[in-house]
Amino acid sequence: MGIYLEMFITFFKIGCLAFGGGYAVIAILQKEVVELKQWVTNDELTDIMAISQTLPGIIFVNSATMIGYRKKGLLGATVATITSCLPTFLLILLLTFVIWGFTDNPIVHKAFIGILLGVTALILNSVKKTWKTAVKHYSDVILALLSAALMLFTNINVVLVLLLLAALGFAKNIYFLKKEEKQHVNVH
Amino acid sequence: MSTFIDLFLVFLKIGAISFGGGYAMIPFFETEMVSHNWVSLADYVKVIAIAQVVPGPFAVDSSSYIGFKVAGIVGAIIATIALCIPSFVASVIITKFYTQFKANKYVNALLKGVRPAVLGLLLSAAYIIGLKPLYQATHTFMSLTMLKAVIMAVAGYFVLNQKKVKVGTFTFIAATAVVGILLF
Repeated sequence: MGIYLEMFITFFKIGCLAFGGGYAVIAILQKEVVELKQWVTNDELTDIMAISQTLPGIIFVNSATMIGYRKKGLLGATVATITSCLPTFLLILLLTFVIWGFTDNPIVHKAFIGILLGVTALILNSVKKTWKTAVKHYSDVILALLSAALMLFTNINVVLVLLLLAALGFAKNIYFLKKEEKQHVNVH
Repeated sequence: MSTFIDLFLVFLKIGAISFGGGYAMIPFFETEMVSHNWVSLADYVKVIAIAQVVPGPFAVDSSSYIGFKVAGIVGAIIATIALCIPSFVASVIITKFYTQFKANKYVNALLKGVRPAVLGLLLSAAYIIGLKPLYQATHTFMSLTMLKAVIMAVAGYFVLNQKKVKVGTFTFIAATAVVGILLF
C-alpha cells in the first residue's frame, strides 16, 4: 500500500506544479520521478517524453501513465493518471466558480481579451515549434497549407479534415518509402 | 442518462483523435460543444483564460468545465475520465510493445504523416481563441478592435521569440492582462 500512497502524493504534487506544459513539465518530472524517487532513469524519461508527444491524446497524461506503468503496472498507471489530473480538475472548477461573477465586469472582460490574445501568441509560438518537426519535405508544406485552409475557410467537420490529412500523409510517406526501397534495390 | 453517455462518447472521441495534444485540441472541443449546444464559445474562452493560472493540461480544464456545465460534478468526472482513457490505453500498449512499435514502418508513416495536419489544427486554434470571439461579438473583421487584436497577438509572438529578456509564462500572461485593459 505504501508505494501507492507515495505515488499518489508525488503525482498530485506534479499535477500542482505542471504549469506551462512541454519542457516546463519535463523539468518537474526530472526532479520528482528521476532524482527524488528514482522510478525511471533520465534516459527512460527522455524516451517517455518523445513517445508521449507522438501518441494521440494528452501529452501530460501519456507520460504520467507510462511512468506509473513502469513502476507498478496497470494499477500504478491508474493511480498516476488520476492523481496527476486531480489538481487541475479541482482548481479549474473552484476558480471558475469564484471568478465567474466578475467576468462581466468591463475591466475583467478587457483583461480576459488581453490574456486570450496572449494565448493566441503562445499558440503561434507552438506553430513555429511544430513546423520544425512536422515539415521535412516540400510535400509536408502542401499538406500543412491544405489542412490550414480546410480548417479555417470551410465548414467541414474538424475530425473529417484530420482523418483526410492523416490518410494523405500516411499514403505520401508510404509512397516515398517504397520509392526509396526500389532505388536501394537498383543500386545493389 | 443519455447526457452522460453523450458526454462520455464525445470526450472519448476527442481523446482518441487529438494528435498533437495541447492547443491542437481546441478545435475539437469547440466543434463538439457548439454542435451539441453545451457551452457557448464566449464562455469557453473565459475558461481558457482562467486555465492559464491553473497547473496541468488545459484539456482537463476544458473537459472538467464542459462536463460540469452539462451535467454537474458527475458530468465533469465522466468527461475527464473519458478524455483520458485513450491516452491511458495507448500509453500502456506502447510501453509493452515499444520496440516493435518503433521499428514498424507503417506506424511511423502514420505518426509522421499526421504532423502537418497538426499545423492546421494549431492555426485554427489561434483563430478560435484570438479572433472568433471578437468576431462573434461585433460581426465584422473590419474594425479597430480586430486590428488591435491582430497587432497584439503578433507582438506577443515576437516578445516570446526575442532573446534579450527571458519572459516566463506567468509574467507573460500577467502582462497581456494589463495590455488588454489598456488597449480595449
